[in-house]
Amino acid sequence: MSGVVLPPGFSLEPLQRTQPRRHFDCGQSEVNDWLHTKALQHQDKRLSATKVLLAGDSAIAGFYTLATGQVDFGDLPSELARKLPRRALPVAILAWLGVSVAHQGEKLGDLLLAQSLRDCYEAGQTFAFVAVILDCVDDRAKSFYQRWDFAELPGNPYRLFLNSQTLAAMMRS
Amino acid sequence: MATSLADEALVQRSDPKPTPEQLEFFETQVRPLLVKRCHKCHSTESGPENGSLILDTAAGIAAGGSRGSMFHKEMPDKGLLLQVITYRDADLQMPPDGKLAAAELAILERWVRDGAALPEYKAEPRPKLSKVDWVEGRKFWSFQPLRPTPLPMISDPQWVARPLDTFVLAKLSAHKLTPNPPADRAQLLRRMTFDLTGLPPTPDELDAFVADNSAQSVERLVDRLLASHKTYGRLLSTLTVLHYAIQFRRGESIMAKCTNETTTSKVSPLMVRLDAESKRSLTDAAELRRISVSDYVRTVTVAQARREVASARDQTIQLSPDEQLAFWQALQASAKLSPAQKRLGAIMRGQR
Repeated sequence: MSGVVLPPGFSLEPLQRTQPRRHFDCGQSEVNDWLHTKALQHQDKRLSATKVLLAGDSAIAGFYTLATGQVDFGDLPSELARKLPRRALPVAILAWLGVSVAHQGEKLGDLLLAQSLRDCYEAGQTFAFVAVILDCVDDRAKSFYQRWDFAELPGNPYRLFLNSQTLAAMMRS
Repeated sequence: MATSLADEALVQRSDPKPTPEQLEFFETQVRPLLVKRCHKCHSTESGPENGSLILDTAAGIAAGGSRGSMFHKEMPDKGLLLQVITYRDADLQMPPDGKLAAAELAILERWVRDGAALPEYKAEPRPKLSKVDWVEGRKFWSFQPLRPTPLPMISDPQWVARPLDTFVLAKLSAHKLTPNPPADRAQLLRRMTFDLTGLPPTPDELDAFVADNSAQSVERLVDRLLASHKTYGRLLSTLTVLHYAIQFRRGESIMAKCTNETTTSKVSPLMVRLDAESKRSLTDAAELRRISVSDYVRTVTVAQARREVASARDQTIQLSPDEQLAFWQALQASAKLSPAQKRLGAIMRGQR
């Protein structure tokens, strides 16, 4: 198995300068702005990696951006600290995901989410992390992720997470 | 406007009666100018907050504000009004958002030099504008004289290194809590650096501090952090110029004015609504540190905000201890998939 099965005529590629990223419109200005102006810069600096879903006409139908991060666990009361790790915990972050308005309703968001989690799983075979964190830009994005039963990160209502055991189980079953 | 000049009773006036020409000049030139440039802050409607100066009544103009009369009878140019509108006083310049145009200045200068004629008015003692209850205010804890306080009874006198610790231990015992063991060197450095700078220590700073076992190492660390230009000193100086003002208005809100750290021209108002419980917590927390609520917000809340912004830049997610524990427990949860997760897993594995 090489990955998520895409609809005929669609392909998934790493973000490149030649792709028409400035024409992408998912209806959410913050997400558009990320792809138009920042995603490539961050990728060039190795801060994040973006993959774009190209439609048959080479337009960008969707994209997602993955990054790494950490959850700070350093300042716990001593009673708790004995049981818990005393270091920042590594996490994978699904930082951005968007589907073009021209292709919304075609379930491409589900495919992009599945492929991004698959990428995380495969990376996790080499570089360990404890969870995938999903950043939600708004309530709509949050409800999209919550359809798949991701839990809220405590104290962060717009961050959901999936622990690595669950991720592995999803790839196994 | 609550009172118009034209409606005022012509009862008392000690100065020579103004001529019709002087009154006409006031009504046609001076008064419109005061309305246009001054009444926004100095009127019966705007209230006494701005120097207790009321400029929409003749009595108010004659009485002046908290700095006294606006006029100097013998030397008109030395009167407060001309001092402030000509921007000769560096500390008090009006209007504060820009000097009057030359033509506007000329009108007020002519009016003042010509005796600052006003319609006749009823001279009344200046209303008591302050609503502060000084008797009640003097009961506030910080105004009380220092006096010895008996030490509370504690269960473990060995733990106490200095008298203040007695109170800490007594409070912990009252809440059925036991003190943490002393922090190790790395933990101590981390906590102090976060408290004073809002940022974690660097690996080099950690190595240096752990290796320094001298008795003055902690003192030196605090001195270094306090002297740090990039962090604590800058935070303090920034806050000094921010005029970070906090008011509990009608007991329900905090009003703060924040200025961009690097450009003093950008001022954005920030209104934070607080429920009663949050407000009480804030007040109690400030009381525990024996500092004002303003200082608590500056040194704790703002420091936390800076920490979170810095963390976000580093892709580090900050959680409170309770949140860390909840997250850790969720990470340990068994990997039992929900039906939705099974469906998503199938897509991940390449099934249609």
